[in-house]
Amino acid sequence: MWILQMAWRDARRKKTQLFIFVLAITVGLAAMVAINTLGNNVNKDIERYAKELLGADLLARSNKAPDSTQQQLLESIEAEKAKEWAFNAMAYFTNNEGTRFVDVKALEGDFPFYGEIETAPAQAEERLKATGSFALVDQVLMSQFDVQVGDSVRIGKQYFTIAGRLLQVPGQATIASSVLPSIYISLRQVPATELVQVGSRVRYRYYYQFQKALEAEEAASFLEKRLAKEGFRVETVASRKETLGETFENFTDFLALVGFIALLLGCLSVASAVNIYLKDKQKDIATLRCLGASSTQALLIYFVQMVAMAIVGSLLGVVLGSLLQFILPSLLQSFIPFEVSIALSWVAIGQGLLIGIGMALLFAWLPLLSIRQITPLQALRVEVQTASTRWDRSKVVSYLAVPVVIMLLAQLQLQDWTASALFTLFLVFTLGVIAFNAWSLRWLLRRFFPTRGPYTLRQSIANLYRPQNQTLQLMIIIGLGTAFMATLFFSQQLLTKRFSLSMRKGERPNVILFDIQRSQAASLKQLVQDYKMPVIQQVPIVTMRLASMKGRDIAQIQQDSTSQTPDWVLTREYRSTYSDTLTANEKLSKGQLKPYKGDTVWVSVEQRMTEQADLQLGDPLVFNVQGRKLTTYVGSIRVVNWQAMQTNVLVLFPTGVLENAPQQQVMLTRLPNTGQTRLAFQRAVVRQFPNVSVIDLQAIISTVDELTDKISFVIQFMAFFSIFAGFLGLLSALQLSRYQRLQENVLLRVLGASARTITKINALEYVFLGTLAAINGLLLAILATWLLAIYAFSVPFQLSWGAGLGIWLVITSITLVMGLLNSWQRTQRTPLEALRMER
Amino acid sequence: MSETAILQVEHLTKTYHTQGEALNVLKDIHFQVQKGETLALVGASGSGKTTLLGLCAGLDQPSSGQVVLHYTALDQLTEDQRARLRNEHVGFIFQNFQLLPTLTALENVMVPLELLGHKKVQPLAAELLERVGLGDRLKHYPSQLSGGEQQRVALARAFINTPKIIFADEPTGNLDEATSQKIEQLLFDMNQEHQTTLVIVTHDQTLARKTQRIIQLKGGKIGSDQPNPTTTA
Repeated sequence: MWILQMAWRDARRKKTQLFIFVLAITVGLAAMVAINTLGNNVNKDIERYAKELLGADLLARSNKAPDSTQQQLLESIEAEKAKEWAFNAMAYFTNNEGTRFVDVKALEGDFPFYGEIETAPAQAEERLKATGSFALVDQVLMSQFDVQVGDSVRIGKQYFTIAGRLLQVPGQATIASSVLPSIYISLRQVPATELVQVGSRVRYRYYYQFQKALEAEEAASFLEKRLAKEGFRVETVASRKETLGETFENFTDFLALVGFIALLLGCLSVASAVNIYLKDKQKDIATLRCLGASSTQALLIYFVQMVAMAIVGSLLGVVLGSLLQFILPSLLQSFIPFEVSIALSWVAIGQGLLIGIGMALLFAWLPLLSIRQITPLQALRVEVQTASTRWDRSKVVSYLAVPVVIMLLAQLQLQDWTASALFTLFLVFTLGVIAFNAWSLRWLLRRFFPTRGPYTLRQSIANLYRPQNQTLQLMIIIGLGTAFMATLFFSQQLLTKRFSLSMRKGERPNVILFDIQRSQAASLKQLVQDYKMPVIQQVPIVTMRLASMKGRDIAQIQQDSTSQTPDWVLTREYRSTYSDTLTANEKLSKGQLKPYKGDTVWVSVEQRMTEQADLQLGDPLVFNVQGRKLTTYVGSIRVVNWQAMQTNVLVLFPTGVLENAPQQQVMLTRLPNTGQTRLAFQRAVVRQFPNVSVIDLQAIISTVDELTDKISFVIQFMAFFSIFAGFLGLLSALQLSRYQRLQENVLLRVLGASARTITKINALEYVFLGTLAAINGLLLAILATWLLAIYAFSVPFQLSWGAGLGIWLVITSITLVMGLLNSWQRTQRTPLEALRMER
Repeated sequence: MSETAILQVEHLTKTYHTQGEALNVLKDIHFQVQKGETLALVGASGSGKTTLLGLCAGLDQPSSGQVVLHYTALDQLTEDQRARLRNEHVGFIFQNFQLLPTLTALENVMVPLELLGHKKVQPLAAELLERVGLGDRLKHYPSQLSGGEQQRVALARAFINTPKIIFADEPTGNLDEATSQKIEQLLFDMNQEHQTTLVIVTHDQTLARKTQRIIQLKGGKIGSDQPNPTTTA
């Protein structure tokens, strides 16, 4: 009881000193609670909307047209059925000649069985079933091209009357329609478009509705057994729930880590705020010890205060985090295929309180331990050092507990032990590197201290290594904050700028024409040349699938649980081409390109594929080229620059093998930047070659930019909390150093130093500290970005030195400004006033 | 072990080791203090006065030798047991007062008894503050009190647990002459009233002359240990 009373008495007059402590936890925790609440709400919504997300009880889908046996099998399921064929094509709005690459979805039956396609006017979907050709067109697309219900749109060779605007389709995120807008038509109309031909890329979907849930599961396993080998995927409501949950989880996991780092930075601030607080309390604790308080009692007085602060900070944190719930879903809504509900998540609140209080106390406990080393003798003499610094078991245990607790809490966030362990290891590594650098710096300065130069310079450098210096603490807090912020910034740049930069350089192609029939190639080439545009590349494409690899059937490999070969290698549709030479973006890494001499077919395989499928030179690969088996051997391995704006393929055949196979061509050209020519050319293509698709990369870039802008805004929003927590840490670390500098500044003033001289010394010291910490953080960020580029984003690593320089300048300036503001008050006072302020 | 000696210091030495060098601050100090006795430890700066006081009060541990305080050998006790002993039998007065800045005058005085687990200590603390002339400043914080007033609060705090012995480290070192005299008067009066043993560290000869015995420290050794003729006579 006395402990509680003393804790209250002691804290009541120093509330402002504990403000940073509370604020650091609040800010750190808010981001995490917000993300966890959102995650929980989305999971609940997925559960609630599960059936509507799939639109049916069961879905069987394939990218390959089912043959008659497969079709019979699909038809044999006793249930309510619906079909959808989806393919990409050019839409041509006749009243204003607008063209756009779209996703055509041709429906038959009552899909969706659950939820509904929302249209304006309502019930417009019914008109698809009526005789006549009608289409439902994405509302954004309609506004873009200023077309109305009743206007006409041409797809392939068929004209459609627009029956309604598509407002919302179950299971589809709005962002998807901005990348590739949808047009719904009736399946009956597909032949009239003449777009589905041999080699066309069509997604075939079969939907089923059952009376009982059990029937769906039975039908799913029935179809899976018989069709999985043929490249069919079978989805039920349960499996869709799982996939959706996982997809969303990946994104929220990333944001949760950002939030967790915010909390960690907040906790570093806590540790340093408690440190300052206790520095101020040292004499009081010594006095209490003189009066007979045991070291445990003294420790408990301050521990009780920390518990109270941790509870207050965490409560405020969960309140703020829960309030953010009203903002976050709206930021993320366009990525989520259903309306996200806004609700408090008691699980997230409970978890937040637990993590917030736990982490705050863990980090507060480390400086609190030093209370036990305060001897009562310190009440008599200021200069008495704290008790022995010999091996202290509880201190060692406490320090070891930090990474363990961090890993446990990361596990709570990520539900993945390996990821949590890696995250903790990386943090420990980061801290270790910064600490080592700070230590080396002090050693180097002491060893090679400049004996010449102006006094202010020598004094400021000496401040970095002299006893009681704050170099290590400041470098850790500023360095860690910089590392985190710079990593976010660099990765974002890596993802967003790369694409657009590569597009703007030189004479690269900016338009892709594909689905070109062999018979159309010559006249299309002529059209391109009529518009005075170059044909940069013209490539034949033959579609095929793998039938066997290294002598084993694909189905066999799939069933082998020990096989490491990823699914994409086994089941994908290979779009291959043939040539006896490589393009500028390809380089042989092993073997030779071997021309076809009428016997063995030697193919060249892309390097990453050979690594993932464990393919060596000479390994046999049998392809199913639209019904005919073709045996080939790996003759060479190529490295392909996928970033290049060119038609790149995984498997390159020699000439003389595929020429007679059904094929389509892809043509790359470069359009001038004037809008008129662009539109005229696109219209001409769609008019003369209705089946040919035109992708205007310039238009895609702006969509990608818009998309990445949205994502980066969400990340920046979350990162803001980390940055704020980082600044709080910086503030408290500088407060800490203030106590070290105060006495010296006062003494210097007494000895006659001007405020200007003292400011100069302080400024130089903070510039050194800011610079060194920022460089440390930047180097770590470069390492982290490099790892992310290679292992997470699979993009080549690029670094913007300008951005690095900018970050260094910002961090150093902030350190300088905050440091000077911190000491400014004191340098402005008379020496006597300053002396009196000491306590 | 003497039954009348409240403090026995036996062959005490204290050595500090700094950067490989040994510094002998106290060398073979040996004396006893009887119950109710008043004693001044005097000497030049650096002679080891404060170190000796710290060792006598159990605030630090000697390199060799022994301190027996209130019939208890301090080297047999853990730090927490020494804290308990101080709490029950020792009072402290410091040169720079050492009041807890976040506690009011009244709360500062209450602390030693509260530490002992006593309830309803407020009336006693108020009475003592009244005794030192601060009856109207109970709710004031140390920063709202003058130096002299702060030392009065410290006096009240030192006496509240009716200690057997009081250690005072330069109790008037931070005060002006007039205030010093008032504080000294109050200290000796209260000591008389409570029949407490008093050990004062000072280099103020006037204050030292008010005690019954003066031990002079020179270079870490006892230079002289003599009764004060002016008070013992």
